Amino acid sequence: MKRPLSSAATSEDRKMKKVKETETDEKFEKIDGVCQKNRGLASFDENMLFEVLKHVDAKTLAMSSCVNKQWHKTGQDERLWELICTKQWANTGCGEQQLRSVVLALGGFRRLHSLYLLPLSKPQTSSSSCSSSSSSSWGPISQQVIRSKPLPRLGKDEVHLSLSLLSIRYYEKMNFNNRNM
Amino acid sequence: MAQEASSSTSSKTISLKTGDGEIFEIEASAAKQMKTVQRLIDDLGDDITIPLHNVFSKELPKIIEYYKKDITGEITKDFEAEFVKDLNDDEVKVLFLAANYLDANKLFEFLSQNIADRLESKSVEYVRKYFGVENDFTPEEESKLREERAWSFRGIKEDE
Repeated sequence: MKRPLSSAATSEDRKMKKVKETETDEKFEKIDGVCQKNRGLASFDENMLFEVLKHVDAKTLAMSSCVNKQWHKTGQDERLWELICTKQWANTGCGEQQLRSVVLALGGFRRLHSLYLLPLSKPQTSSSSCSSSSSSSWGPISQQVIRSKPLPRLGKDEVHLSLSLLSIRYYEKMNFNNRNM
Repeated sequence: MAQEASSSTSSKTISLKTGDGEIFEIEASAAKQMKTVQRLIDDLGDDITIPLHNVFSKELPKIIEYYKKDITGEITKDFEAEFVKDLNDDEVKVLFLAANYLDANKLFEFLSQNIADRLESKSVEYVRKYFGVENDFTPEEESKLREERAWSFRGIKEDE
């Protein structure tokens, strides 16, 4: 799996956390109402949270920003949203670092996902130009698609489209600011 | 149990003592995969029983089972699926915390994926309870955030 972070960095982070943990050996935490006295394990620290969130799907990552302030901060992390976006993509035809700097400059992966990638993953619920199936038959199917894990792989065109839309949005905002000056 | 490896590297077993006083044996090559254990071995020597204050007899056997499989190079998707099949969310959490303490990278990665899978379609309240975190948002802040992310709340399962 592609990871923007070097794994060396994360294991180093964990080592630092480890030193802290051994020092707090005697600390006990209430986990699920059961007093885990003398267990000595610190509860999930920020690093462990990040590691778990690396593997969640888009819905869970977005939802996690509502848990508390620390989670909100972690849930907004661009590196996590980059993972979410690129998981869906076929080969974009440009380097990872290059793509990253462009997307970050234009507003970031989180925005890219919520504004332009999310609509692409949703099924067509409204009766579109396709006249074949009746609108009622889309009901249960659309529910299934939202809940199912394997995401539709987005092709090059869809990726380029979403990136273009992100650029347009950025430039629209830019022009608007200039006009006021 | 302990198999004598034909290679020249350690075919020794290491004794590990859990926080609740039970002793378990693992092969030295498996112990190497748990960096915390290896560090303790380096400091204390491999003839001494290594104390693991923060790991208990409930979870250590499972961890040992994983690494026993790992050193034979036999960890497959099927094995991993079977490994977590009968574990509830809390048991996985305990294993994950232990893997973190032991600095057992492979198990840690695997379990972080498994926990992520288990969190899919869970409610915010469930996640708070599971991770033992307090909600520090005001009601207004929280409802604003939820509104912004309304799409992510569709299909959330009822908490058990």
